[in-house]
Amino acid sequence: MNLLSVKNLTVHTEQPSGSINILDNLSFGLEPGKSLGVVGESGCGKSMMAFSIMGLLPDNMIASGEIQFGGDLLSLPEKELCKIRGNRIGMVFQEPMTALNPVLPIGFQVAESLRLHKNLSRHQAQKQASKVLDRVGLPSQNFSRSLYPHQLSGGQRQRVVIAIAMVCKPELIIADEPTTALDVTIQEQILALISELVEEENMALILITHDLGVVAENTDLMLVMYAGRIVERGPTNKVFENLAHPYTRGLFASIPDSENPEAVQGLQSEFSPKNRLSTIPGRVPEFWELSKGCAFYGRCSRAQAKCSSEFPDEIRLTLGHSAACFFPFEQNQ
Amino acid sequence: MKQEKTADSFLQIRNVVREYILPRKQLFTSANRFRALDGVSLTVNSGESFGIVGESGCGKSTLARTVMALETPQSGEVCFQGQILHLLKAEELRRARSGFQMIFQDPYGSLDPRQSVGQIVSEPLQLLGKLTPSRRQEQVADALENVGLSPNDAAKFPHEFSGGQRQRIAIARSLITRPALIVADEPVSALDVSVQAQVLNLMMDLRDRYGMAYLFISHDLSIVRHMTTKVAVMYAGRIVETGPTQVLFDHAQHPYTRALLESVPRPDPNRKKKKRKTLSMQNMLNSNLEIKREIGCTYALRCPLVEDKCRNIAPSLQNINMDSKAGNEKNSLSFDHKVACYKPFNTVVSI
Repeated sequence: MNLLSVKNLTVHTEQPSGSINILDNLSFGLEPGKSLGVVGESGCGKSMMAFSIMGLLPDNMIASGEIQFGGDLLSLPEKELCKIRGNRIGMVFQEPMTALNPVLPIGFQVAESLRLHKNLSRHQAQKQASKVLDRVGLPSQNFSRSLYPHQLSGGQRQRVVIAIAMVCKPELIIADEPTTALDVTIQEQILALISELVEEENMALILITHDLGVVAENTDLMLVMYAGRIVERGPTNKVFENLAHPYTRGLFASIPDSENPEAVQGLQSEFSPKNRLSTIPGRVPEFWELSKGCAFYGRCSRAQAKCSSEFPDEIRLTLGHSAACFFPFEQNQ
Repeated sequence: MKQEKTADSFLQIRNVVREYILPRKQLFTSANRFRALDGVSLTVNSGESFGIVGESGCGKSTLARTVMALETPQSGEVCFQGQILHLLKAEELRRARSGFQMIFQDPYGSLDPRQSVGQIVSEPLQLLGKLTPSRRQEQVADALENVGLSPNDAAKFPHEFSGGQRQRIAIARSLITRPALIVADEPVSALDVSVQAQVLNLMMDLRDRYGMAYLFISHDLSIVRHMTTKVAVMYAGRIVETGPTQVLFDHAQHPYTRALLESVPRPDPNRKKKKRKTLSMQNMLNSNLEIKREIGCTYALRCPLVEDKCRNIAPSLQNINMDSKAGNEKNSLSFDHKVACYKPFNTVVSI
């Protein structure tokens, strides 16, 4: 039974030049206790997807389709959405400094959603908030609950943001680039903390990132997005075993890696001569440049005439693993 | 030149200390100082790519700014092609600047939106003077072509370009005076993964063509590993380990370097959750304690191997004497490999 199921989610916006699809026919499901990684470059729509689920889309964006979360979130009135947001779905934002209110103490900010959603008294809420802050690694003897965000470091602030997301024990956590602003050593701690908490409470997790390494180490399932569409999906280990979509491959090959380049299926050597990184030629198309064909058409090494006129359906490769490509890479190719 | 030339040095940084005065907490107490650079020394040879890695706040950008003579060190000196930069007069320094240029991190912030690309790229030439406008234009066209843009782009404005192209413009600007050294401070961290690779390749191509040296600053270890031949790891204003890139990454000695290397997420699903449990709570309390100017090793607060000695006397950079068999074959390479630690990894390995 899916906790969250998204069906044909399309988000479009009206521009003077016409209607633009920011997200195009997204469908996926997520079971409780599972973690889903969403990878893609900036502008591919991964944050918009998170905002649609949270009902936080900017006013000029219009969503259609269905987001089932015990009821269709898209058709819920704002008042009902407010009861779900922060209560049954928690969100961890990218920039902890902008996500926190600079003029309120951290204890208050964590307690806020408890008072709102759980009808706790100020005192009870503060007490429970303090426990959650203990849990995320900010014990009260070292970190007073009356500290302000600017008195904390980036990693500590992100812990506070996580505490806010977790405090109502939501069923789903959406983490939008939770560690992009942090150093690698802190990133590791924060990701470990998120995974640990999610496991403890059997929550579902959507982890949005541009870092393939983060997805590999922290998720069960993954989606790869490009220009508003899902181009590849599957269980994380299956996708990494056989990168099927040319975009996923290109993305992978352009990371200067790593411990042993050969482990990346000999990709580096396959793509690039002497010590140069392999690149994906061109750049991500702007939304108004998209035609009806495959969005990756102009940058793809395998593209043929068909790709420019038709959008490829998802082809199932192995159980659960599929790619939206007419000419996907096969196993060990 | 009034300074005596130092023996064939290209870029030498000697014992540079840079302190910032923090706002004082109380009126009648003396203000605290923050030591961003604490006795940093390193040598970059001509045509070499030298990487500097470390977490945010470790002083790597301050080091870059000091090399660019944008900061004056409190003590120590930066010696570029035999000239000690902070002793130069303003006019001399301006001349000297054509020899070292900088690429900044954020291509959205580093290009003036109201200047055309041509103006941006030719500005360093203008400051050097003595070029006719037509000659200048030629050079601009040349520089733009070098970085994979068209000479026609000179008339356009920065907002017409994507992030990757903007960084190319910034590279063209740094290239136009044909510098012998380019300081690149996180040149690709603001770019998308697929565009990152294009810009890095461009930087390598240009190096092959013009043979300039790079001082390449990044927090991304895999990029530094790919781009550089020598590397220094910084922690809290000090260099804790330095050496040839390959050797240092394969045989990291300092506990900090090892922690840094291990924390990089790798695109390998099988690696997941192996190390998890031990990590998340441990370390994190001390990791965020304010770094004080203490007498011992700056890493002592976070180090799992810390001893009393570490807290009292700061270790200095020492050559690693490889006494094991593995050491012998690597001996010639590991000659430059230095670490500032009492318990480097090769001595603790026997657990």
